[in-house]
Amino acid sequence: MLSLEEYIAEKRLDNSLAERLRALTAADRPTILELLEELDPSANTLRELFRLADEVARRDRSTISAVILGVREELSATLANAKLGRKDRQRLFREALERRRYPVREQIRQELLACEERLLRELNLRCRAPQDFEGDTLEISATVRSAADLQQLAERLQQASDHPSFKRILDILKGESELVV
Amino acid sequence: MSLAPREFWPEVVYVSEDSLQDPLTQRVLARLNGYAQVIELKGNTDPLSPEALKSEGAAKLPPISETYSRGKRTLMLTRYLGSWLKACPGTSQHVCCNLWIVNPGEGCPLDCTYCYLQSYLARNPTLKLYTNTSEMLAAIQAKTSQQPGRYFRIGTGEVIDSLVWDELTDLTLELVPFFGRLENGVLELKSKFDSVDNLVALADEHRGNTVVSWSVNAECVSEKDEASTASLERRLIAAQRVIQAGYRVGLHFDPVIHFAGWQDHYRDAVRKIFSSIDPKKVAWVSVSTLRYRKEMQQVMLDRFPESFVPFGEQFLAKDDKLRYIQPLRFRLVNFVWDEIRSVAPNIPLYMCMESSAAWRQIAGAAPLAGSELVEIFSRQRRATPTLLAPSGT
Repeated sequence: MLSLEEYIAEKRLDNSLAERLRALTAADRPTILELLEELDPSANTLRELFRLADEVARRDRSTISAVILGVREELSATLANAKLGRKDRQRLFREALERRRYPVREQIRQELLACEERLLRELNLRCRAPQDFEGDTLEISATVRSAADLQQLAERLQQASDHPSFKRILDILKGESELVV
Repeated sequence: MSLAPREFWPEVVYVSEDSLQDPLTQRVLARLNGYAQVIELKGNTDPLSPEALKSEGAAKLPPISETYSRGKRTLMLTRYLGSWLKACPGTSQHVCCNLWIVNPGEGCPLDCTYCYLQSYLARNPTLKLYTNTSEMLAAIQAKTSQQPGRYFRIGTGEVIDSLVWDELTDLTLELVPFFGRLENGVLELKSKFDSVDNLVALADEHRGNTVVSWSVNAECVSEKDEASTASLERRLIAAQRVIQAGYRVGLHFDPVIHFAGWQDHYRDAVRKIFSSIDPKKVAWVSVSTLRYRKEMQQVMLDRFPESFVPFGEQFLAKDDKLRYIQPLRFRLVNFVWDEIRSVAPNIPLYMCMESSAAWRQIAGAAPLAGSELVEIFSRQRRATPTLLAPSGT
């Protein structure tokens, strides 16, 4: 395994990122280096992963290595898959860190996705909540080829207006769900 | 005049050459006599700016968190050379209340964890007081005279606390009588401090044209994340004193912060405030949630390692600020809004820098334009406004 200084030199990390890595405790260093070898992130990806882990550690009065180890444990089965590419590993790791750093935000994201999928599956309607959950406007898109299609669409839209997933999306956006306390 | 020193008074005072003879300079130096080291400064460059530090031969610039903390104990008396009166920049894609701002200085010796000045003044961290105050008043006079049909709400608390230096400057002794004579403007002083002796002494001169506002928060937030400020208790006592002197007060629940048990703490704060203050004496109340530029995150982490403020459920909004996600923001604002309405149904409420969607959801409708909010503030001076009060009240 490379030493921290060797890694910084090899990756030509900028000063601010290098300083942050050097500030790691002796206990944190081996865990981080092992992760770096496994994920082989670019400097930007590393900066983001590091920021997330650092903020979780500070918030929970824990250490970066404990946070990283927790994520590795959570993902151990998935990461064991040898077919998984480097980018996918990085993405999975980042998403797991985001779930820890922003538990409500990520739960909302999952719940909105589930509602959108349900509307698509049950009513064949593509409904999209606003980006970053900002706003009170939903985008609904559909394609029709004939007057009959349009008639059907009108019926499906009518059904959507009473559909629990539709109401659920609006409630979540308004802050009126149990996800936000 | 002998004053008991405050913990936040500066240790070093830089005085620009051109400010030396200004009355405000003389006053501040006389009152700080023996308390702070005084250094005469050629030019107007902030002595803690990167440029100044480099010119002094600093091989490597210290981190922003360090110079900002040094700036908190350093005061610069200088002349302001720019345009005094500006429309509040607000924030892009959000509804603005169209406040006009005039800055009698820059930076604040109080030290709130969440203060946006930590990024806004990162390159100019020295606290400043502008000594050419007569020019400030002349600029306000000129602007308001040019548009006699327009009503100006002018605040001094955008980049400085309006009251924290008043014991040293007596600035309110100039501002309040000046606005008392103004036909088409109201002054809003905004503070987290309780220095109101001067205001009380001006009971016969403000003529209802000064609103004294306090930023308020849940008491546990004030205790943990508003270092050196007056406690809520002290702010309320100060508010009672100025109300006795005939002023109306403003209240700014800003920033509302999300933490475990926040509902109970904000409910308690609302009740405590309105058991001390008669809602009829309140000109306006704003409610807004935590927001700050993303580069401030690290400064907060460095300067306030014990605080939980930087760890909210945020996202990077289009105005490049970290804000709580909308569902959480709406929940927070709605709760505080409803709590205020439950104890003070007719009070004029507004949101600072929130989206049109927030206005629709929380207030029932978005203002048609910023001017509508100006109208609320101007009407309030003469009669109870109705626009932001719930229908039927």
